[in-house]
Amino acid sequence: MNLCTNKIIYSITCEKRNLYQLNLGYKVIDFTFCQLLSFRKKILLNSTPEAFEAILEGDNYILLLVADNKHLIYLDVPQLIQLQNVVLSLFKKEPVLI
Amino acid sequence: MEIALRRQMILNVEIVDMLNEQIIMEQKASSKYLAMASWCDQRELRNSATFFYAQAEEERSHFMKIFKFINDNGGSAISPIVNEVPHEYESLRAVFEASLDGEIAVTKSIHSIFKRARQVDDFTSEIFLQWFVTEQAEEEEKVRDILDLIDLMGDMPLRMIDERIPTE
Repeated sequence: MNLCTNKIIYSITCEKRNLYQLNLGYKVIDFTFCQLLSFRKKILLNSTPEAFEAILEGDNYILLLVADNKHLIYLDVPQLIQLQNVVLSLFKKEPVLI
Repeated sequence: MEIALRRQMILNVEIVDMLNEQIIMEQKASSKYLAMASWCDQRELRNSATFFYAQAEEERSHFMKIFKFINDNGGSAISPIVNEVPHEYESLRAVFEASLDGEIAVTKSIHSIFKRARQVDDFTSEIFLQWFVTEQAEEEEKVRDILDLIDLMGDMPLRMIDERIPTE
């Protein structure tokens, strides 16, 4: 028996000022910076342990309207975690020494 | 990418999140003060009601200040949603005690954002928050003074205590 998996690596790039491109594998979404900030907020709100639990107990996926409602994306929990890592790493700076 | 983000926003994104939480807290404080004003107004405690109406306005002005600060510096301010606030109190003293507890919670929150801003080198937010640190010290003291006044007046009629509540 062959097991076929389709692993997509999400990425965000910035080619020019105020244009951030999220590559979901099946499509590329353009974000301005403020759209990117609200996208980050949506991802953070939906990736708390409580949110994961609600998704798993519900339909096992969520639909998110992003980039000023221009795109609708479908995400299950593993995809959400992967996207969370991508988005958070974007804003991460070097560790701060206290 | 870090340079691209820096060109968009001077603030640290984590501090923006904390400031957005602070907006919710200030809005909640404003709504609580409005409920307190209503409690006092219904009992004809005019000066206390005036005091709390003014406090509600002041808390609103605080969160508007933060709201504008976030947007003016490239961040994304989020309009706050407030759930239910308490509308019932046992006494005038209980109202002012709740008010002091609320102010202390706000102060603690401001201090923690200030501390974090300093840790992540977000000097813009740190300087902005200095005004709030001073303001909160004044706010707490204002309510403490009123609680001292209530203590001093002991068993005097409520109306007489109310007459001595500062309205400015």
